[in-house]
Amino acid sequence: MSRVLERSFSLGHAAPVTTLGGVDESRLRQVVSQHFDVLWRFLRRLGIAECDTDDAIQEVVLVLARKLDQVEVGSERSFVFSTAVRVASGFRRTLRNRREVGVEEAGLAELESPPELGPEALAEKKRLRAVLQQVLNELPMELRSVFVLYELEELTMVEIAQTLELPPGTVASRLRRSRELFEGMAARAVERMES
Amino acid sequence: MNEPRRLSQSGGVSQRLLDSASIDKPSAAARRRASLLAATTGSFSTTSSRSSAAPMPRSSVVKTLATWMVIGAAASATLALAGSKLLDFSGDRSKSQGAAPTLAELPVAPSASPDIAPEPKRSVQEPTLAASAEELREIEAVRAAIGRGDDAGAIAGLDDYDRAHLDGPRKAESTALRIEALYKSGKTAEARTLLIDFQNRYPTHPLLKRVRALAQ
Repeated sequence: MSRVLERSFSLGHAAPVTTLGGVDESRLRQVVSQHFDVLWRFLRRLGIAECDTDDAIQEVVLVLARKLDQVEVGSERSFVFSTAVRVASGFRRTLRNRREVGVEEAGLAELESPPELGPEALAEKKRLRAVLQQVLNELPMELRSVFVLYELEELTMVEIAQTLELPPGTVASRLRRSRELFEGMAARAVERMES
Repeated sequence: MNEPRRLSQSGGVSQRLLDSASIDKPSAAARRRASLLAATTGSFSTTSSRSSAAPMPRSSVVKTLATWMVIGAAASATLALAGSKLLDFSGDRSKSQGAAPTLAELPVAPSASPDIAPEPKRSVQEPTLAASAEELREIEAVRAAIGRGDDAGAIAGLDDYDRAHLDGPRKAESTALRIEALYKSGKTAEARTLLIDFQNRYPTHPLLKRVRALAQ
């Protein structure tokens, strides 16, 4: 059984790929195409290493294919986010046993360089991006997902509550806690980087 | 719900760090891989679910029934052929009083052995059955050629087989027959090389013992 399928089971997905229900193939392609960028960067920001991103995306797509008929039109992005959080949590558990994802490995090798940035500015941005990932990785997943959705994906707190199926109060407290932790860790990390 | 001001608008270290995330953009290659994945997942799930989930049109039901009848007939014929070969083989053995049969005398293996990676699932269609029968016929012809001592003819037949069925389900059998034909025609170095390859590819194949015996 492939790594992805093994993890599909471990994540509590009841059925393997071969029992996927009838799927609207064109809708699946459309959803993946439309939300791929969001999904990719969200997984990376949740701490999935570059070498594991394809696997993680595959898991999300498999879940999406299996449950697409239950996803209301217009709710696809929310479904993609919530599935990505579960998949990323599964990956993190696996990775904890396998190895820790270092800052270098959080790697930016496959990023497309923004053309407007010069080489020095780009190098500086990449350094900061690596530090950002290091800080994000130190946040517990339940705080990290809320933090990333709010601060980087710019969802509203109501949207986050719906996406993660959490009470609004829980979202608010997780966001508050994650911001406190983030600000403290960010200050220390940047100081270390510049010293 | 009161939305706090986002840290990316607050200035300071947090903003610097969060701003750096603006370079997060997947490469075109990553996007292509995902599109391909969606296409294959969609196609695969559609195919695999057709029998259980999606209602099948009546014409498809009739076609499927007909196909399965053809499969049943072909399977019966194959089993009968294998059975008759097995009986012949038993008879030959008793006649030769324990003399080990050559590979050419061995019965056709009824199916691919478990040590060979399973074939990708094919759609159940008549051309596949026809191709399978053709493969069987070709293997039988090679076996017959070896049996009557026509090693060159057997090798030529195996060359034709390899061209027509690059990785057919009877690849192991055809390789074993080629090793035997090569040994018998005196091309021992070539046979030995092929034997090593056979051992590596099919380490638990039932024919391996027989093929090794040829080298001794």
